[in-house]
Parts: sequence; C-alpha cells; structure tokens
Amino acid sequence: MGRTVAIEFEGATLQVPDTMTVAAAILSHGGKNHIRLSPVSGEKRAPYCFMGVCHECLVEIDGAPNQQACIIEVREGMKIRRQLGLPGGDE
Amino acid sequence: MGGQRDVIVIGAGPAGLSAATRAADLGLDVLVLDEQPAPGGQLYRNIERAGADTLQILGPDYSLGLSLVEKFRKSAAQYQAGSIVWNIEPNGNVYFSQGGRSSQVRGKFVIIAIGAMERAVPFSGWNLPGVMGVGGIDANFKSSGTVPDSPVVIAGSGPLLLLIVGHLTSLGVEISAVLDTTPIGNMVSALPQLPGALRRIDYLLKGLGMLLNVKRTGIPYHRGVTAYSAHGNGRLERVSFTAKGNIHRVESGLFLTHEGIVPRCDFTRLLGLLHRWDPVQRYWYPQTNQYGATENGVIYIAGDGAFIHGGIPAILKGALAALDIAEKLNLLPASDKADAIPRLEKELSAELAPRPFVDALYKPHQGLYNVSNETVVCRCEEVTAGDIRQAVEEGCREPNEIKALTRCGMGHCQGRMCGGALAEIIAGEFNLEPEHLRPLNIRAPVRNLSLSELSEVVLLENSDQ
Repeated sequence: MGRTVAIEFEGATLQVPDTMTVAAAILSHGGKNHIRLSPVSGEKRAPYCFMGVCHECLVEIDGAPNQQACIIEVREGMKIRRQLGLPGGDE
Repeated sequence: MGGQRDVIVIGAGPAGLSAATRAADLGLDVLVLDEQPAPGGQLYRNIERAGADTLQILGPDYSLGLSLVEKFRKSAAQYQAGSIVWNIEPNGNVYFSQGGRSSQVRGKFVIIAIGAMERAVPFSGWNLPGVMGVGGIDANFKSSGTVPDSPVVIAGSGPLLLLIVGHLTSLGVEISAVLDTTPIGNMVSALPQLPGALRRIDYLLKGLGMLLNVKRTGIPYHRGVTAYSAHGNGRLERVSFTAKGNIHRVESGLFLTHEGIVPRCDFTRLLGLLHRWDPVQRYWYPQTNQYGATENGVIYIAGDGAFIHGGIPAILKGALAALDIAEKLNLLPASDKADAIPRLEKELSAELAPRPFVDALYKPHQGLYNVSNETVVCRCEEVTAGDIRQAVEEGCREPNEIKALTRCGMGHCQGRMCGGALAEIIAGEFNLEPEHLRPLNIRAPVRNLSLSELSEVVLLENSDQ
C-alpha cells in the first residue's frame, strides 16, 4: 500500500490510504451508521451501490454539496461533511 | 471539424480499455472518458495499485486486468479519469464534466462501454444503513482493502454471489448465513441448455468449485428463499427471510443482496436507441449488430452494456467494435480484416457457449417484485410500492405517467435504481411483461450538475494538451 493522507470528516481528522474513495474512507473510519440524511423524511442513509449509480453517498466536499463519495478519491486536507437534508441547509 | 476525434470511448472497464487500446494501436485518435479515478471499471477496479495479497484473494479473474490496463497505458489513447459524461448526442457530440468544469468533444464514433449494474430489487428495509449491494462491498474492498467487521448475511442469486462469498471467507469475514433465492426448479428448466455449455466444461467446473467451496465453509446455506427483509432502528440490526415456507430471523450488522446484473442503459435510452427485452434474465438491452454498432451508426455499445456476457467477452466485444470502426475509417489493414475479426468472433462464440445455461440456471424467481406496499421503491423520493399501485388503481399504466404523479424516479439517481422495479410492479398489476410498457424517459443532463457545469461548456480542440 502507498501513502496516507489526512482528511477531515465532520471535524475529525482521519488518516487514510491515498488510494481510497471518500465513501470507503468514511465507511471504514466510523461513518458506517450514515453518510447523509434523506431530504424527504430525514431518515439515515449510507452508500449502497458503490459504483456511481444510487447516489446514496452524496456528501459535501470542501463546501461543494452533492458530491458522489464513491467515485471521488481522498486528497490531502479534504474536508467532508455529511449532507443533512437538502444541500446547503443545516436541517 | 478540428475538434473531432476518431473515437470517444466512454468507460475504462474491460470493454472500454480493450476498445481504446485496439483502436489507438491501429492509429485512430482515441479519447477515453471514465468517471473513476483509475482504469479498470468495476471488474478490475483499482488494479494498478492492488497489493500482492489483494491479487491473491481476488485470483486470476482479477489479475487478468493487469495486462489489459498496462497495454492501455502504453497505447496512444488519451485518457481522462474523473470525467462524468452527462450528455451524448446522436451525431457523436459528448459532454462531460471534470473537476467541476464541463467540456464538449465530438467523436466520429462513440463507443459506450459503461457496463452493467446490479439489478436493484426493492425489499422492506433496503434503505437502512448496513444494507448494500454485493457489488458494493466488492467495490469497497477493491478500492480500500477494508472488509466488514461485523457478521454478514448474503442473499440473492447468481454466479457473482458465490464468488463474493468465496472472497469474503478468504478474508476472514464472518458470514452468518447465505440466502439463495435461485428457484429450485431452475436446475431442471436449464437442462436443455446444458449440452451447449459442455463446450466450456472448465467454466462449469469453476462454478461447481465455487459452490463446493461455500459448502465446505459450513456457513448456514438456505435454499429456496422466496423473500427477505431488513430490520433496525436507523441502522440494520436483523434480517428475516422465508425459506420453503418457514420464516427465519438472523442478527446481522451488514446485509448484502445480489439478484443478478443488468446492462446500464442510461445513454442508450437518452439517445432513443432501440432496446429489446430479455425474457430469461428480465432486462432491457440496446440492439446492436455483432460488432456492437447500433442502428445509429455513430454509436457503438461494447461489453456488458450491450448484453450481460461477463469480463472476457467484454474484452473481445471491445476489440471487435474498435476493428469495425477502424474499417469504416479505412484504417484497418486487410490482414486484420481477414484474420483478426473472424478470430475474435470465434473466440467470443466459444466464450459465450455456457451463457444460455447460466442465464437459465439463474433466471430470477417469479416473486422477485412482489414488493410489499409499505416498501420504498424510489429511494431518492421515498415513493412506496403502495403509492405506485395506488396510481395504477387511479388509471395510470405507463411508468412516465406514474413518475409525474408520484415523483418515483425523479430524484438524484434519476430513476436508475427504481426504473426497473417501477416497470415490473406496474406490469405485475396488469399481468403483463414489462416489455409492453414504455420505460422511464432519460433526459440530459443524465448526472447531477451545478448550473455552471451546465451553462459553461468548453469546446475541446483536437490537440494534445
């Protein structure tokens, strides 16, 4: 395995291999309970297909909402936040 | 026409890599657009960076991709990773977004090689965290090398299911139960296809070996499972299932399901191409000729996106598409035309010999879409099977009407996850086959974009960057 990078998930710093996708990094480092809340009912959701189809892994990356965590690789210093409800809102 | 490439290949999986390499080696100007960070597609995901232990666990079916990717890297094909294609026009215009910026490029030919996805079959609780597709856990392992740390329950049917059970057990993952939904009668109904399959007895033995391997592990293996559901409060806690009429329950931290794979038709639907229905495996596929050409002439489909045949056939289909396009561009040497094409066709036909048997053996069970009314079908918009049936009762019959009425298929995934189930549920209400319905319309942009990605499109010139 290669290098690791430091990313931030919900304010906590994680050291993860630089080959990981954002979704894999979150799932394997304490984010397995949910990655977002459904904007319809607010129920918890987590990545389902891991291949860019289901859009259950949408997160906010460096301030940009609706990023597909399963096809984006981690980068040093990346800041990731759960998407709670509608993008841009805090509800 | 300065911005025009000879071929644009969409997807860097087995078919796309093979097509791009072959075309570039014949001197064609090739651009490959792929949404993943590295080449390999789903089958050979992350292969360039796989460690020796990963290669060993995933075996020769995976490491076969090493030489494919290596040849691709050595070829003159231009490769843009992290490119999300969001529109293709019938004339070969392709629009894609990379790093938040959109570009447009034109191909004399376009090869769509986006492969397959797991058939999305809704069941009660499938929207809980802790429930995933079997393919999802496979992708996660290839991408991260991590494995589940809690006991896993696996349900469904098909060769991939057995393969993943094998991988997970060699990784030391605890599997509490395997729930096999393959109808028990399939073994008999598939028998007429067996003689053809015997041409590739090696494949059959491999399948049998996988099955015996699972048996040998002593994992509780339930046959004839007709229904399953997931339960938990905000996260999966338990799986229940019906096997041979009896209801069982099992505690589980991760529930993986797999009901076969189906071609991804996003772009072929967008392009309005002809599709056909496969009554055995129950999926639509775009109509192509033996080289993957669609009736459009500019657009080709290679790999599992044309029909589910698996990895090696995808490589062969990609090469055939490349050769056919080279010929149309008068760039195919006469020797290749006489030799390479017939050789590839022969190889492909030998590879496909076991396929009708395997397809019949793993024909989806009849009750697959007997989805309970309270089950969420459209995960994005949380539309239930009951909402869909209600719309049918109110006089709707077409998926597009029901989409407009209920929002089923209107969310982020744009109906990719629920489109098939929506058609099956409606068809079930009318006692029809889904082929008699018109599937959900697909419109560009086929992916979520920001407004700037949609409004500011840079036209790429045909120059090396």
